This record gives sequence, C-alpha cells and structure tokens, in this order.
Amino acid sequence: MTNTDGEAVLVERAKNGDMKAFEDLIKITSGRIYNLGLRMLHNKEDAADIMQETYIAAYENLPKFKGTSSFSTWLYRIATNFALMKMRKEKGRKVSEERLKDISKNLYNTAINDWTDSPVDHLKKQELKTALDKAIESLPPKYRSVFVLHDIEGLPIAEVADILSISKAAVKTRSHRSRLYLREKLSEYFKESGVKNLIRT
Amino acid sequence: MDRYFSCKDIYRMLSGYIDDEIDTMVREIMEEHIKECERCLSLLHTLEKTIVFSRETHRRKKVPERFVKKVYYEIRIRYKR
Ligand SMILES: [Zn+2]
Repeated sequence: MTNTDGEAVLVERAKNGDMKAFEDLIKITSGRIYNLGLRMLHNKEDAADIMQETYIAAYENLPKFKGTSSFSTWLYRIATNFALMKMRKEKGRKVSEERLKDISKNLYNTAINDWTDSPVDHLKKQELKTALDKAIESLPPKYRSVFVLHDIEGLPIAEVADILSISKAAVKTRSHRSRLYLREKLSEYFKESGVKNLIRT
Repeated sequence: MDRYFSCKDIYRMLSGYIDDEIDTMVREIMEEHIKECERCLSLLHTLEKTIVFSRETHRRKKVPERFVKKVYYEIRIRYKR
C-alpha cells in the first residue's frame, strides 16, 4: 500500500458524508477488489458482484471502521467474505479435507518428477491456466481463500490471518496443503500433456 | 540439536522454507538435506514453480469502467441525500 495517508484522509472525509471522497476511495481500491474477486471466482460477473456488494457494505459500515487495520485490509476482509459466500454456493465437486491432509503424508510413496524445465510457450500457458484454475476451483473455500490471498495476492501470512480471522498457524497449514495439492495437479498436467517427461530416479 | 532431517521432516517444512519462516539454523540443516536429496530438491522446485505459475496466470486485469460506474450509481441512488 503506497497510498495509506491519502486513504486515511479520504476515509475521514467520507465518514463526514463526503460522497466524492468515497468515490475516490473506490477509484483507488477497485482494481484490487475486482481482481480479488476474479482470482477467487474466475468469472467477471461474480467479480463485479463482489465489488459492488463490498462497496455498499463498506459505505454502510464506514462509521464502524476504526482504522485499527488499514482501509484496504478492511475492504479485503469484506470482499473475501462475499467471495466465500459465493464459493459455498458453487456446485462443482471439491476435494475433501481428508485428501488434502493425506497428500503430505503420502508424499513419501509418490514419484516426484521435476517438470520445472518443461517449456511453456504462449499457447501452452493458456492451457496451463485452464488446468490450474480448475484445480484452484476444486479447493474447498477455506483453502482457496488462503491460497489466493497469500500466493496470488501476495499478502503476508499475518495479514491473511487478520483478513480471515484465523490464526497464523491455520494460514500456514492451509497454504501448505493447497500448494501441495496444486503441485500434484500440475504434475499430472505435465505428465499428461507429455511436454517433456523428465525421467528421474 | 540433532543435525539431521528425514525427507518427511522436509516435506512438512517446505512451505515455511519458501515463505522464509524458518530460523537460519534450521534452514541450514534443511539445505544440507536438500542438497543431497534429489526428491526433496525436485519437490522444492516444483512447489516453487506452482506458486510462480499461479501468479503468472493471474496477473492483475484492468477493471472494466462500466463495473466501477455501476458501483458509483448504486451507491448514489441508495444514499444520496
Ligand atoms: Zn529428502
């Protein structure tokens, strides 16, 4: 956040009923909020819905915003809650928590190929995105939200814990399991697409 | 302190390693293992690459102007005094 001071001034003005100041806050933060929705739901309409719900809720709750966390963290928290509600209504099958727990236990008996040298050209990249999105979507909401906030948004563990109101230890566990699961899915993808099967023993 | 980690120990700590959440001393013991163990090295590489790919395929997109305008509009009709 480069603009925290400016944000704080705008928040004060918006609290005093300055509609233009609130619109400026939307202008400054909408990129992040829209993309958060896009990254969680992979769909423009859902991202637009989440953005709208977030700013309406923010406007209504502005008097309750005490500034203990930054305005953008507060917005992230609201937006993440709306995203979680949408995820919970999704019909697609989710991987079970049991299975996510087992991945790290079973790693010892799994073949591990290093596919990091496989070339990924422009066309392959789109295909890879599709495979990855499908895998991300199959993560249960409480794992997907951690993965998106921590690894895609790039937020530190403490901030993710704050946004989701969970402990840092829970963020770490969910992050680790999500990464291992997605790694496994990507390994399957590289194996199937046969980009270059590195044989390692 | 036991200066030895098994592969299973490493599996558990790899995310902490990537996030730089591991003490320097423990980190050094991990590195000694990884240097010698091709499986753990491959696992580390592919785990890191998973994160890199996830970021690369989800670069920030511009918000369509119409979506932002709609938000302005919805707030104005609700709260304009
Ligand atoms: Zn090992």
